[in-house]
Amino acid sequence: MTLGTVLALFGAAAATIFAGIGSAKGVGMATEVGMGVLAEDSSKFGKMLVLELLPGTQGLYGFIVSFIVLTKIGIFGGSADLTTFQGGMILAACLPIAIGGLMSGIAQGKAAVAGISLFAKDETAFPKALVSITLVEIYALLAFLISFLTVILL
Amino acid sequence: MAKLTCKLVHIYGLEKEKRGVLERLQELSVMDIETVSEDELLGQSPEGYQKTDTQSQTTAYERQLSDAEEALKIIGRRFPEKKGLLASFEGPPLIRREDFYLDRNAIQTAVTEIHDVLEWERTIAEQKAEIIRLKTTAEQMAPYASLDVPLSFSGTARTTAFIGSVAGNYTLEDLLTALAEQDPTVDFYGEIVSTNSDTSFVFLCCPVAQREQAAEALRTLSFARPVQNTSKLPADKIASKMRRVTEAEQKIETCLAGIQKVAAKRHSLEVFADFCRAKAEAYRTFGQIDCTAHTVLIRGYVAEKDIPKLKEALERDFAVVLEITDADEHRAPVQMKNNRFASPAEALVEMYSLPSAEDIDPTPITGFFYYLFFGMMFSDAGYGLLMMLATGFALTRLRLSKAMRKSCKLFLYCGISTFLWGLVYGSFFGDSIAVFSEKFFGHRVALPALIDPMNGDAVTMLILSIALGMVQIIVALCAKFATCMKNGDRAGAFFDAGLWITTLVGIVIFVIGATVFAPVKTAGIILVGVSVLGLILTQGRDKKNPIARIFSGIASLYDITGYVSDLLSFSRLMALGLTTSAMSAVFNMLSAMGGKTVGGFILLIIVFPLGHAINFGLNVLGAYVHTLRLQYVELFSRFYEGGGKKFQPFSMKTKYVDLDSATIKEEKL
Repeated sequence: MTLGTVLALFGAAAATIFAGIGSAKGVGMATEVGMGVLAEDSSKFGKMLVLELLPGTQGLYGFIVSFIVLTKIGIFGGSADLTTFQGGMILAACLPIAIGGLMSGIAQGKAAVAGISLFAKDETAFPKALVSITLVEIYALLAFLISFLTVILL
Repeated sequence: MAKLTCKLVHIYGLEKEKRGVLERLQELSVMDIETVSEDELLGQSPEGYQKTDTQSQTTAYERQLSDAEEALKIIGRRFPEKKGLLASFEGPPLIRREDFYLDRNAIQTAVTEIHDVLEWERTIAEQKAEIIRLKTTAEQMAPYASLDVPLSFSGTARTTAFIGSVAGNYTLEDLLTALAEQDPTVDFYGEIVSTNSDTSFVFLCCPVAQREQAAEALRTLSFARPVQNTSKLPADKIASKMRRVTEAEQKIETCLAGIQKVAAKRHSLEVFADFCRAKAEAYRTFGQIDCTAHTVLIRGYVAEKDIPKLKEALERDFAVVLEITDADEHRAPVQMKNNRFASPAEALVEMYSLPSAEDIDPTPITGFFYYLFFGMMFSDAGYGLLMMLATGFALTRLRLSKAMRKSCKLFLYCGISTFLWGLVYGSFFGDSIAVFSEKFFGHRVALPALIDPMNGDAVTMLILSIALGMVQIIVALCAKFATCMKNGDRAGAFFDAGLWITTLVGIVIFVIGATVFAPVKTAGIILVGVSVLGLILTQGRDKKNPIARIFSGIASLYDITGYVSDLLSFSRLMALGLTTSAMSAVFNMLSAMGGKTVGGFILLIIVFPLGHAINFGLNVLGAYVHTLRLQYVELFSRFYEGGGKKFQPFSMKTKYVDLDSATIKEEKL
């Protein structure tokens, strides 16, 4: 185990932790509001679930990046000792999804809360709410692409 | 494969046949009756016509309906119907026409039963409250149960009696001592009836003359008279209360038995409820159509294909004249009709908005891309197979409602696409085959994959995603071209849609030239150059000033950022596909961790299904939502306006039973 491997592990940890926090906060916020709406009208459950889960993808993106990093550094069998330099590069590559996931997860959670309020008032507004909430997602997607491509190609 | 052509139909009939005609229309369910005529919008009624007041009949049926619903709710709560898991997916049972139109006796029975159920329910509520009241009283009396004088006993000729409670747990000796300390002059005689942890229930006597002092002394010990004051012995009183509790309980039993008896025939009540619903709807419509003393005029929209059916059904039995004219497209409601392959996607379009008069029906395009992209995001042959099996079973074995049948078909097609993409990515429950063959049989057998997302082909996936995105955008622009042509906007079609199509195609040719096939590179550059020049010259065509025209032409090139961000948006096709693969890989690894041991096997049979169930649930939702977004934002924004009015035929609108057997047969796969 070299310092490089440890640095890479820090990267993998950061990707899952921070993107996960973003999603957890986002989904949490949306679910809190969603429960309130369900208390009034439980027939909205199916569509409400979709809106509540929208901020959940960031956590998955972070997780995938971590997973790729872990396979790369030989955690799942085999060993590839990384130089400090390589480890540092992997750590840096994990940062976009770690920070991007954190911020966009929370932002998307807020958007989801607003979307749920809209949907609670007007059921026909569901597609509008859905589409508007996914607007935030593009930035998580961009962060993920950069992290993912870098980790894969390094 | 488009919107159905609607015709405006005027039906002239005889007033005396009005009910019959309307009932027939309701059964046919092909006519969207227009209730506000154009003349009325201008504040005039058609000459000589007036409306019949059916408010009272409508209200009567609505009241019956709400009573029936209430009774059914009570029955459902008290005696829930046991339904199998599969049956809960099924639509309402089919019913024959003659069983639906109830005769006078059946109506009378149903009304009585409903009334009984409501009455019984009320009695149950009252008796429950009564039981609580009785039990409270009995509890308040309970401490005095052993007292052998009534609570209202106030003394004899020479003595005054105090019955009540004092704060504190006293023995008789302590109590008398405490009273003597307050006022030594009073002669108390008494007994402790009962005590609990902080109260003593006492019976005390004193001479009449010392009544005032005694009361004073007792007050200092917080003496309180009992809440219940009765002239009967406490024990008798308690017994009588408990007897009444038993009676009330028996009454509740009787009522419950009554409700249970009706519950056994709940289906006849459901038919009755639907019957009232249909009647209320019918009378509401009766009240909205125009009549003279002897004739009636019904106006409404009918799809062109239904007109022969309507004509035949009405002219056979009634003296009517049908006047059929072309409908004003802007006022007519919209009905979509697509082939078997595309029609499940109608629900997706409808959720967004129905096509307006200017729009073309986007369903075929949406359907194709929805199935394609859903599969690409979910991308697992195993999951696809599960979806195909589940929806296939539901479609062939269960009697589904129309809407359910449609969404099952949607997921069937999505499942097929998921299966095929799973084969492309070499993924069957992730890399399960490779992992298990290696762990349990010693040598690794992997599914062949055209593109292997987990082993270095992710970039290929990304390129494929963007390329398919490009295809969808170009198709969307072609649809815009068609929309503009349909509305006679030739300039829009060629300059707004056409030039962007050639620009994008030029870019594609250039990219192909730069990477794979060099000779076409120049052709691409020339095509882009010419198209961009065209855009600069034409995009400002509404401006008078030639310089402003060129400037807004150049400004319009800024739209290219929109195309770039839309293209990037398609990278979610790769991201979500990867999510499925990566999470499957993790669960497969976890479930194979125990190796070839008993413990390992147990781990396998627990973790494998559980893990894949989680993965399935998360990703099917993700695929559904993100595919939808790619349709609504990246496809519809290019050409689709929406805002059409839904075709709502005058029909039975039943909830518990289904009369519409013919259409269900027609819809079968």
